[in-house]
Amino acid sequence: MFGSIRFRYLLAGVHLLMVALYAGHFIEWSPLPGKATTALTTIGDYTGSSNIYSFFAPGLSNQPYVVYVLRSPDGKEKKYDFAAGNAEFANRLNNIYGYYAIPESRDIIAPCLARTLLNQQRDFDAVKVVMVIQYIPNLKEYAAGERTQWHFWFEKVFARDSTAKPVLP
Amino acid sequence: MTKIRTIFQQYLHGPVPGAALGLFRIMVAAFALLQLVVLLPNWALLFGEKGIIPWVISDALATKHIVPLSGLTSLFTRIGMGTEAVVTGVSILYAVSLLGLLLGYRTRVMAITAWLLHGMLCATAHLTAYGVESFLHIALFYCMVFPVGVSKGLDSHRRYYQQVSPATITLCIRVLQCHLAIMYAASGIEKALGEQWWNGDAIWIALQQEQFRQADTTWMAGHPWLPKLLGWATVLLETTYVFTLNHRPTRKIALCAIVGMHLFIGVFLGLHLFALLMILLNLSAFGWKVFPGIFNPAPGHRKTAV
Repeated sequence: MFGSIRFRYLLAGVHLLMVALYAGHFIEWSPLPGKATTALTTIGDYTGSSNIYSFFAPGLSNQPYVVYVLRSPDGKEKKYDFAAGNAEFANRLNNIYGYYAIPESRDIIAPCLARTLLNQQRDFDAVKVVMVIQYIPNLKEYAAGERTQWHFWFEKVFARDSTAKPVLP
Repeated sequence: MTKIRTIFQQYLHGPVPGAALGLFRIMVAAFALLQLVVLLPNWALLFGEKGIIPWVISDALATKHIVPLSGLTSLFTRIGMGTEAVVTGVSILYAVSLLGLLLGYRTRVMAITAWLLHGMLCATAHLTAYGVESFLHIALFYCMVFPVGVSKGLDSHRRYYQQVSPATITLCIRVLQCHLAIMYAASGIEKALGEQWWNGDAIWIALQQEQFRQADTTWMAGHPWLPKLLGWATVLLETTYVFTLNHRPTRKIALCAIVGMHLFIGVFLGLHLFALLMILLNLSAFGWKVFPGIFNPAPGHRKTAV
């Protein structure tokens, strides 16, 4: 596959060059015209050479966290853990919560999760989605007596009827 | 100049056992199957048309250019297949292709199928995908283009694989090594630009974040040198990866340290699958050099470069 060994070296070189360029945030400073960059990125998406590797870099910020409170027709409330018992599913949900910090995304994604939850929990007719931000003091602040705090960010109640269909952008 | 040229020649043409590629294939396929099993209880929620993020929303917010499952279903609905049937079919085909890849049966076809379907599944659930999916996609792409059926598979005896040149095997492993080296260098440099990695706050904050928190580590605040040391070690390991893993005297300890770093991520940050995949990729890339007893084929096997 892929012809002579020299051609393979060439392909490998181009591939690794793309890996290096995209790892260096090529999209942000690409001198190429928009269409060429998009074409290159498409190739990169398929070949895995268009990734940015900024894991926890340059640092960590305050973490959004979402709490779901289900409400039954008789007014009883129950806190619900969406990903109880499945750490990998929880990791994926946490990935979504990053989008909650952006108001435009939040207005689209929060109803989706509320709808899923109400579909799973048929005994309840409403769900309150509460987003909080975890503020963690740094080492110096912690030594000086500060402790982790939860700051309220937003809350919204979704009733079964209003969440039957996803809200479109 | 001649010395540099010799070193470069040695790097490009040095012997690499075909078993390194065979084990890479087995580790990647086994990992992907494990991931599939772990995600199976929530499969429909993640990838279904009416999952936690419906397709109509995820497609509208797509940032990658890979065709999602909705692109496939629009084709199949024309012949009367429902969306659910297509998702089920894709999922079963994905599992079968991974099994074939694991066994090294029709390796290339299985690898192409697994890579394509994994890409589609990830594009569909891109809002929930994180680092583990990026690396699995990279690994499956390499399984597709590398002759990974050359060893330890049902295909290994086939004429095509018997004719794979030692130079090709070496090139493949070098590409994998270089990709990891670029990734760690980029990650390490970006970390080094942040103050948090130098004063220990990055490790401290990561361990306290609700989403990663596995155990009570607040005692670390009383020993600030520890998170600081871990932060420095991470930056040092990542930025020097390319040198330490390619330099014989430091290779073994560097590989053990990188594996240790990912074990820490798995145990203390709860990113189990991500940690496991990174360990497997590192072992695939450099394990054959550090642990030749495991990777080198039995005496008489022909797949080692001259």
